[in-house]
Amino acid sequence: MSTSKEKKMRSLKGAKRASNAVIYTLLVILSIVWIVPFILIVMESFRSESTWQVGYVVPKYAAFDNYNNMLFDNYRKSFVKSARAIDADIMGNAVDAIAAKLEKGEITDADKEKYEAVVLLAHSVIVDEVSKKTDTGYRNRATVLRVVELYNKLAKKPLNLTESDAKAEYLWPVVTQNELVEAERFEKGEIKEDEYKPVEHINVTAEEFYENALSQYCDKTLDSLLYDETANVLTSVYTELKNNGADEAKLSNINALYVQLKASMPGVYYSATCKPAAYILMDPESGLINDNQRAAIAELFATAGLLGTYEKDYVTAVEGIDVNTVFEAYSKFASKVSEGGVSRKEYAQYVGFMSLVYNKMKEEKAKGVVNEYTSDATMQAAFDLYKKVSKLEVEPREINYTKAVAAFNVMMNPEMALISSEKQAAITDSFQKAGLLDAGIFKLTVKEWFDRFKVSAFPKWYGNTLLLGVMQAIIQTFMVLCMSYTLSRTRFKGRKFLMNFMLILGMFPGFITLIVLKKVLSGWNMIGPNAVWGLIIIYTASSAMGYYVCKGFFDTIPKSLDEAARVDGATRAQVFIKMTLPMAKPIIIYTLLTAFMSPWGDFMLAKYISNNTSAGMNVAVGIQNLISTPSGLSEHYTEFTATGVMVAIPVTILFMCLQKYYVEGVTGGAVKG
Amino acid sequence: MKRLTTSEYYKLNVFLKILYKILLFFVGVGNTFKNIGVGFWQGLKAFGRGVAKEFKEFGQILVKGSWMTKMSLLIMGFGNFARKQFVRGTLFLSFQVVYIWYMINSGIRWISKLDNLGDNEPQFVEDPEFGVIVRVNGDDSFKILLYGGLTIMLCLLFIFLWRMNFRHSYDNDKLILAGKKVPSFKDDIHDLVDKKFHITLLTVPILGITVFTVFPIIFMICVAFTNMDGAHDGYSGLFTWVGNSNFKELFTTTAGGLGYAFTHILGWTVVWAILATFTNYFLGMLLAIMINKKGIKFKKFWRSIFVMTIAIPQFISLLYMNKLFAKNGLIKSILVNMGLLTPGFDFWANTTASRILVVAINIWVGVPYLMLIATGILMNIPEDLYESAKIDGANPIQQYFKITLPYMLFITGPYLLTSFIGNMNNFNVIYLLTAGSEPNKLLSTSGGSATDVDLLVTWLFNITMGAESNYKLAAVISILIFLVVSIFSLIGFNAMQSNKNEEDFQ
Repeated sequence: MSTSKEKKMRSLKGAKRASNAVIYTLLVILSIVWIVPFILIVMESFRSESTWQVGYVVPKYAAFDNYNNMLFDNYRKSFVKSARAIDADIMGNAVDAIAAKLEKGEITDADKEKYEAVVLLAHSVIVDEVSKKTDTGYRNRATVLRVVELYNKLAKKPLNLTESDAKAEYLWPVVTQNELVEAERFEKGEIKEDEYKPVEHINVTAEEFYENALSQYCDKTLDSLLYDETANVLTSVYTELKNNGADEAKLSNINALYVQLKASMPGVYYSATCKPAAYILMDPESGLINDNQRAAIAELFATAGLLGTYEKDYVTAVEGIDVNTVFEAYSKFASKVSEGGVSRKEYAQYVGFMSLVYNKMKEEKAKGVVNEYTSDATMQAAFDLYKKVSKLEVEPREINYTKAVAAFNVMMNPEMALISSEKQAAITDSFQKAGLLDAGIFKLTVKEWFDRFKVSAFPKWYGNTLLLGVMQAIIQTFMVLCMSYTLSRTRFKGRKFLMNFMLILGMFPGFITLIVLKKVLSGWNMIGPNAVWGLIIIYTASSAMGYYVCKGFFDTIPKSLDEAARVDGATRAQVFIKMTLPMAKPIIIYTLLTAFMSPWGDFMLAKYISNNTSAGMNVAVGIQNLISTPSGLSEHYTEFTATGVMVAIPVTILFMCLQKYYVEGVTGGAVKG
Repeated sequence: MKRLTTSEYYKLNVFLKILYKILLFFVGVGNTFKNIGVGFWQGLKAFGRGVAKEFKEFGQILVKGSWMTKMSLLIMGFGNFARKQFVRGTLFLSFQVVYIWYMINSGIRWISKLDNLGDNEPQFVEDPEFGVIVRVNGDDSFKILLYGGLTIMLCLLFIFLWRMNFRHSYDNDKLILAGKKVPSFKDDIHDLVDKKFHITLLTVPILGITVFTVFPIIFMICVAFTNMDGAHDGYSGLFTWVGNSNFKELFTTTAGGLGYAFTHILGWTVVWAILATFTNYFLGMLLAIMINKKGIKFKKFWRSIFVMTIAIPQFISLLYMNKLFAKNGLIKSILVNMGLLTPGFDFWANTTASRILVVAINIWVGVPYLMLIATGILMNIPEDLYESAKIDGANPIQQYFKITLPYMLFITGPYLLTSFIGNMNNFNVIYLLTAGSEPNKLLSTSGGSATDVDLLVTWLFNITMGAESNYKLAAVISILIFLVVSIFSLIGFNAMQSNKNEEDFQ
């Protein structure tokens, strides 16, 4: 007997454990399903690639760009725009310089990352040019492939196509997106049979496929979703052409295209590409581009208003270099020239320097200083020298940024040996203190940083929604408390009628009242930019109709308490304020919380009342508006996810803190509602 | 129909039991409608009696009232002034002055134009001085309807206050006859925080509801009988009364007709509401049961994970979901990469796929709410019910169907009803998930187009926001939505009632 009972007990326990295990598994699976979209949102919000059409989850280039764009906007975007506008030839030069450096082994592993940014930028710039069908200088497909090859050498995990990768079977039918679209339309019956011309890709040779893929890739007509498949076909192409004895150059080109497609080399983004690339390009020591090119880039950025006070400071600093040092350098330079130590080719480098010297002399003279450098003869000689190096017949104008950079470079170049190394060190020191040398141009103080950010519309939307939430929480709670207390605690003629009437009113779709209300509110100037105030009125005016949950709570407070207080001489108002309200704390918090949260999700009313005016939108409408067009979607998709995170964080924290009250309210509401 | 006693009911076999319940339900529905009819008739009778009584009392006041009361009929607040109730008197009198001033200035004009909502179309004439075309404003039908309506409301308010005024005066007469003191202003204030506290509390909420809900609804009901749309919105062109021709349009049941679209969309709306409500309900309950099962650890942790979905604003999760499944979206491209879908497939363009998706995503959004509610209720189920069931040898599944489910259904009946109605009008889920999808050609009407997943309320939104701004149709559809919703509410209410009688737990 006892053993069988024990057995039964044991089997029961076993069954219980088994069923618990099943429940745990289910819970884990469900939790994953519920939580994964949020993890995805968070991950995407850190993605630099703004397009939404990516086939991967983990961001390849993580950055805070999206958050910054939503909060400050503009600066980064125009930076990226300016970077992309750099001349393709300059980028080509830089790429060549990097390739040469790499060959010489001058790039350490640690530096590779920095140079990678330049290569990425060059890639985008050149592909942009190639897709415009221009073919001069570096603007051709061969360069694109060369750039990709270099990228592969610099990348941390080199990706190489080997024969072993080759897919056994041919996947020819992946050629153009157009064909896919056509085929799809044919399947759907949108085009008739005689109109449908399936392209005979079966007959495409390996060579043709490669050419096709390359041109589509460079012309940007290849859908990013087809990259992977095309790359897979390239493995077969590679094998076939290798077996046919194709030359190394071609094979390496195929490899480059493969790398490109497999790596889905991203475009240019502020923090991942543009900033580091600009740093290293503009760094004179990197030697990637020459001074003229550097000046051209600086001008490009300056025109876009991205340099701010830096260039002014730089000019001031150069002008502030000690006069005697400058004159000392001048005399050395003059003697060098008279000795023939400077070739004609090198003259151009000294234009800025001579211009500085001459300007300095004029300045000193104007101050009334009399010495050997302010004498007419010296000044004439300096002017002649300036004319010689600049091949200009006019007096030098004031020092500008370009000239200042040139002059600085000349004086600081140890090979030119115009000033002593101690003096050079002193100048370097003072420049460094002024923050002008530290990879330079892009270093800004915090204040300058914020000065140039134009604030995006998002903070306005956020503020609107916050204001809505707070106002609604206060007014709605007041309304609901008044209504529910009255209906629960007092008995008066028409009470039942009032309750039924509100029930019936609630059955009309609320949206319909808006047509009238919008007109009325527009008369009060409360739509469009002032939509917030109109929305507050609409949200709260009738909010007393949602009294059910609160009334249910008041019903549970014993009436005898009220009566006892009334017998003691308290008025109804005193009972309400001093007795009932303190007891109703949970339900007040619940009402506040739900009222505060509702504008964050409201879409329909807010869209209608805001009337497509950005200043009057709440977050939901603003964001939906931002990504509702295809172009907006591809530009702002990741920013949308960043917004999601920014909106969700405070609401979630608030919610988690007050969850207890929320649960009480919801449960009570469901039971009594 | 003869009602069975409990013992008779239990003697029936399962099939008959169900049949009996169904019969009971329909009889209940019939009774409900009958009750409404009866109630309406009784209400009408009561109203008639009230009016008769009112006139009788008015006659009494005319005969028995003091001269001050009689003067109050002409000059509001006269009786109060005479009894030194200055604050009351001033309020009454100033209202009368404002009212008369308003009516003479504009009120009468608005009301007189209500019959055909304005005659003068706006005109575009050449300005004789500058030789350019200028607009000469005519009548504005919208304003006429709006201000005409408001004026009528003001008149009703005036009658109400006028009656209150001479009644007050008459009450004072009676108090003086009885030798009592006439209430001072201080007494009035005290009344407002004590005996008449409900008036103090209700004034603001009811004012808000009247102005911002009741009046707009009356206005839109009126619009349903006009030809108002984008081109005739009052300012651009006049609109006028057209009788019930908008409603007649509903009977065009061929494809492209309003009736066709309405029935189709209504069908899906009801299916959606049923699916959305019950999937959420049962899955939420299941989840709650799983989390709250004895022996499961980290209850709070599990709950928090699911509750997070509530905290994150819906528009984010819904828009994100839309993009995940969109053409070229993440999930879509992953599925394509896995070879499960053709690149050309589009979830949101495919009727079946998009319908399944909206229901599935709605589960994802809604189950946590139900989980919370069910958790609260499950904890309230008396433990001894389960104990005794266990002793009787009931297995967990039997326990669920005999105890948990009936208890939940009983308790959450009202919630189920409201959430059903809420789902019928669930704008956010449908709009944010499917906005921008290709509309179904069969459902494009004179008013606006709709997709296969559109609910009545999103359809309404499209009609109003669409190029034509077909307000008259929007108004008609709103009235229909109201009818549908109220019918479902009645049926649901009735079902709850029958449930309560049969399986009363308390």
